Amino acid sequence: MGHEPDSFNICELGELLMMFQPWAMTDPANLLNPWVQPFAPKQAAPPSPHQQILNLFEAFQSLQESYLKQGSDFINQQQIGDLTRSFALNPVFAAVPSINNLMPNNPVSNIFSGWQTQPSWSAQTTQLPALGITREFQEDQNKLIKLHEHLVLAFGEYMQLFRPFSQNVSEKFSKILSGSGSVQNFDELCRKWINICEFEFQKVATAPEYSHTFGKLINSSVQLQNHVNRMQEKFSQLQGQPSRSELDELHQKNSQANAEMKKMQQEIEQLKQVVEQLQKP
Amino acid sequence: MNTQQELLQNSIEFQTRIQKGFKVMSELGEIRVGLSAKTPIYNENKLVLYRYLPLPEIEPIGTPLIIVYALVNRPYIVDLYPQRSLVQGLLNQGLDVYLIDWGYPTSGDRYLDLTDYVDGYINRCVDAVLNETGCSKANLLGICQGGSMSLCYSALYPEKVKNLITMVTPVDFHTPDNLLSNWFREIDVDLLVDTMGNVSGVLLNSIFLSLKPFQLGIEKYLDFAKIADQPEKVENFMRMEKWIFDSPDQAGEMFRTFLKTFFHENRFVRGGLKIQDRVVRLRDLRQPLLNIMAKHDHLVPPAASKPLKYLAGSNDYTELVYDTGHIGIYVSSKAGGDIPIQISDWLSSRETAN
Repeated sequence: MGHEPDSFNICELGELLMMFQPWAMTDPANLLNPWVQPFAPKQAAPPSPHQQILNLFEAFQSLQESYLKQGSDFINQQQIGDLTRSFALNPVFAAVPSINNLMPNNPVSNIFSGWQTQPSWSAQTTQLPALGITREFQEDQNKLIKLHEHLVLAFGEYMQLFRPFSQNVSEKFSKILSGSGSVQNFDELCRKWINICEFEFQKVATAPEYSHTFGKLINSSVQLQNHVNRMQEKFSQLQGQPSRSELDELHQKNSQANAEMKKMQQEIEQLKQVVEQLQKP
Repeated sequence: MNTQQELLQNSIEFQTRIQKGFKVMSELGEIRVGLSAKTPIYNENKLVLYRYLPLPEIEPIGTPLIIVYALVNRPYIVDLYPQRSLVQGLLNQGLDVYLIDWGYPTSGDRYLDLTDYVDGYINRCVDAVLNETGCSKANLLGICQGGSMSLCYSALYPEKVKNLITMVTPVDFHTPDNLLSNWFREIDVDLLVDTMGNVSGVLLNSIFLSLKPFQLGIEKYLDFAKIADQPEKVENFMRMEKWIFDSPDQAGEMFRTFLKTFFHENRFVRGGLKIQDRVVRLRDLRQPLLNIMAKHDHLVPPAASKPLKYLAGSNDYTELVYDTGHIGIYVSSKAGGDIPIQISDWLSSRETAN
């Protein structure tokens, strides 16, 4: 069957907009489907113009929300990625395998699933005294939970800053959608949405409290990562494998040796020049 | 809004263009970058120093020009594609062009610091070029972070640097419009480097992109629709796409020292910068200086570069501001056109000076 442009309906513009999620382009099916589907023959009657506009706006909101989700996924991804340093990012903020897939036998892996929400049992757990033969392990676990809590709080503060962003973008964009004659074509509509989002984002991001909250979020994240590294060191020792700090120590010695060698080479060159000068008649 | 029929027709045309674009993309094959002919003349660890081969019809003249690029992203941006290649433009002007390619640091490089890069790598590259050419001095073209390192180097080794050109180079890291600096100042860099070792290039790249997330992350794909049916432009789009996401990790100690020294402590302005126990002062810069900036630079706003005029000791200071952004200055039509001409003219007029 051929294409039927007349049966194309505006609510599918939402699907077009969703194309601009580069992180969803990794699967060939995701890549092509949104472009192919609008050309498929339609059985049902198109929605009313009013409903179509509402659908379009919903699609825009959906894109906006997914972009914010992308931000939180990205932070999560940094947790995972920096832990393993082996993740692929394609092309902007691609999804990465979960920590469980990457490290199925890692005893700390479960802590990362759903890390954005504070586990209800965590407060009680951290109050328990560490006792017995696994005391050290319990302490590590408790610290891990506390650091996780800090990260959750920091993330909450960070997301709080974006409340006005979301609201303002929605208000401004709905004004554009409800206005008549203000948008000439699809491209312009998308650009208006992008410009509104960017403008509102800059309002948030240039505020001093954003820098502070952003820093707090990164620092909380790295503190958690740091503790996980320490735990991994212990696991490495238990398994008789070289730990990262042992490798770092070797790298540092190697680096120092290189620097000393370069310095000696320079001194030798200088001495050679002195000898040459002295040998001249 | 226009009638729905028009809007729908418009969106169908949009889809058709995108579909053509995908077809064009699938037929492109390998995306090739850095096409100007070059030959390695020195290498050390991951670093390779290249000399670009002079164009057949143009005999290179004068003092060699060494391009010192940033450690973030790859230096082939200066030669991304022939029509808009800064390198090609410089070669067309008869300049003898060299480029330091830093390579991709690995965990074995995490203890490389500012001293290793400036007093080590750059110094040895300059020596290699001087040995190769028989010249007593070289010209430096420092770009972005590479410009900051070139400022340090030129202040430490004035006897080896004839003229210094800085392009989109931060000098004052604490200007109010420097969003990146505001963000970096809140990061505990000691904790970060102690934890991560080398700092993930992907992490940094993502922070850079999040300075303008909607324009850099979405709008460019909208722009793609406009050129989707033009194979040459699609190929250039993909070259840029390749470059933007080609992000080497940063050697941990270098990242630590650079962030602390410049982003946190603003040492070019406040003083007290030391490299290998030698004090680096911008007022020791006596060479002629050409400072090139981009008016719409969101990473290095012109206000962050302009203080070089007042901080440097040189009495031969020239400033050029282009109506473009941080990336545009490397790949816009100006990169292959006016910028190399300006650089060449500026250098030529100082060629006979000592």
